[in-house]
Amino acid sequence: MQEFLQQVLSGIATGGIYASLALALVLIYNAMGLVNFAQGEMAMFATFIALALIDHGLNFWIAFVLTLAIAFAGGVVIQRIVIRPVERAPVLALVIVTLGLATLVNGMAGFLFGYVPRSFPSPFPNQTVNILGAVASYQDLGVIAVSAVVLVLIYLLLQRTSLGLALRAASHHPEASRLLGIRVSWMLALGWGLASAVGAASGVMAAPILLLQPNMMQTVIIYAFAAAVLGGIESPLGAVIGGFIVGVLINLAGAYLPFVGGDLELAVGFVIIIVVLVLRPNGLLGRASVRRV
Amino acid sequence: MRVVLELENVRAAYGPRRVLHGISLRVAEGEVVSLLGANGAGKTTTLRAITGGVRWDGAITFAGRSLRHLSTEDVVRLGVAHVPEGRGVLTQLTVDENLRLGAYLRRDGNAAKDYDRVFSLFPILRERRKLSASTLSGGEQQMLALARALLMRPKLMLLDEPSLGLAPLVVRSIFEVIRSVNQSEGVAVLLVEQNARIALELSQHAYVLEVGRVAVSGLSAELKGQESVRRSYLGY
Repeated sequence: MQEFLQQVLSGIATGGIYASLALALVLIYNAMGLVNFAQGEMAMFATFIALALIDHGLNFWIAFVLTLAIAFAGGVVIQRIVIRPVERAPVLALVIVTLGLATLVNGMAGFLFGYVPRSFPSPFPNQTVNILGAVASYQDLGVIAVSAVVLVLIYLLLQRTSLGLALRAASHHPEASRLLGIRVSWMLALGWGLASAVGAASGVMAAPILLLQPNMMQTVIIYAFAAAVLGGIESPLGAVIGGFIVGVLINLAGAYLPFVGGDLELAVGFVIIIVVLVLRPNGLLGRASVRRV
Repeated sequence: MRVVLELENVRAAYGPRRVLHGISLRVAEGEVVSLLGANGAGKTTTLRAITGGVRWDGAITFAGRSLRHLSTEDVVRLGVAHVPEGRGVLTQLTVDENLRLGAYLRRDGNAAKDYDRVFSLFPILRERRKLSASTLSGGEQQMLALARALLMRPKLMLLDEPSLGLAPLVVRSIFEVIRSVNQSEGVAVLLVEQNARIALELSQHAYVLEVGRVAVSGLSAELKGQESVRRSYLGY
């Protein structure tokens, strides 16, 4: 039982990482009807920036906040320069553009920072604490706390501010929003900025566990896809819930299913995606979708 | 009377298909003007040209300012509230959120008073505040769209077929509200309607479009009285 609790707890911690990246995917999906395949690579690049800041002697948390700000600005710039010119292009063209962006960012990271995995400092003490008889690491609890704070802030921004309201209006109803005076194009850029910042948070949290190298987020993004699909690709709340469920499921599968072990965990992510698409294509919180033609 | 909106020889096309062949019309301050005509005459396109929803040639001026090169958002920010065909209700959001977006551009801090005003005009919206706008009936959505437009405190409202698909009783009450808002607040209205009878009752001037041109125009009261105009263009 104790071990089970422990596995669940550390599943929730990795789930927070998936939830953040899944939320980033959903924010952009809502804005342009497409997932951003470069989301993980953008998060990885931001994490390299965080490491550079820390190496320059900045306090971890200052570097963290600064990284989110830089990632936000980067997201806005990428939307303006790369995405906006092809905004009205067919979906397939946009898919290729984001795939190209992923390759570009990955290659740039390799070129600038090299492919040797680097250890990334954790801001949390390397100790454990007893909760209900289960041994929890500060690392796990810290990751849970950070992702909770990030997710709550995004929730408050989207649901409680008029900027968030305009952002939601612009992504669901661009034409009608223009007639209300909302600058839709800038709202979409803002959406990219937010997604990029949330993704960066997931990258920085993943790095101490996974070691930082240009391909670090490539498994994480599969789990984030699984989380977003599970939650309902249009639902921010669904993505977050999906992230935590996927985190726990993967962890439990790795611990208790002998044939899964560590190697087949990625397959569990794909199984989740396939099962959801077969049984409940709209996900847990998704509405039945009406295709825009 | 000062002219608030003026179109001069406005032409527009969707791709190769010309829809407007040179429309000229004026709306004076505080006036209601009807834009009538059959389906496909170019009524909706005329409104879309004003708020930059379609490319156009010619001249459009609003409050003395040329609207050339302005984006939809910019035109709206000058004080034009456009309630489009199909009402433009944001169905993914709640009734309250729709209304808040009406006041989104307001910086004057008096929006709270205006909420009370639109709720007294449309009490049903107060009851439905928390509900998703998608649960509203057609009439209620039209009320929401109008209420939201009023919260924008516009100088000019462009209304595209507010009577479309609504029961006669609902149409009456909606037109009553348009009349009272026009009279009490002096908001100018350019009203596109298929229902010529009710539109001519409300408006001071009217323009009848036929395949992208102004076929007849004049005082609404006079057009109403001319049997030949009524028969050949207005269909009643």
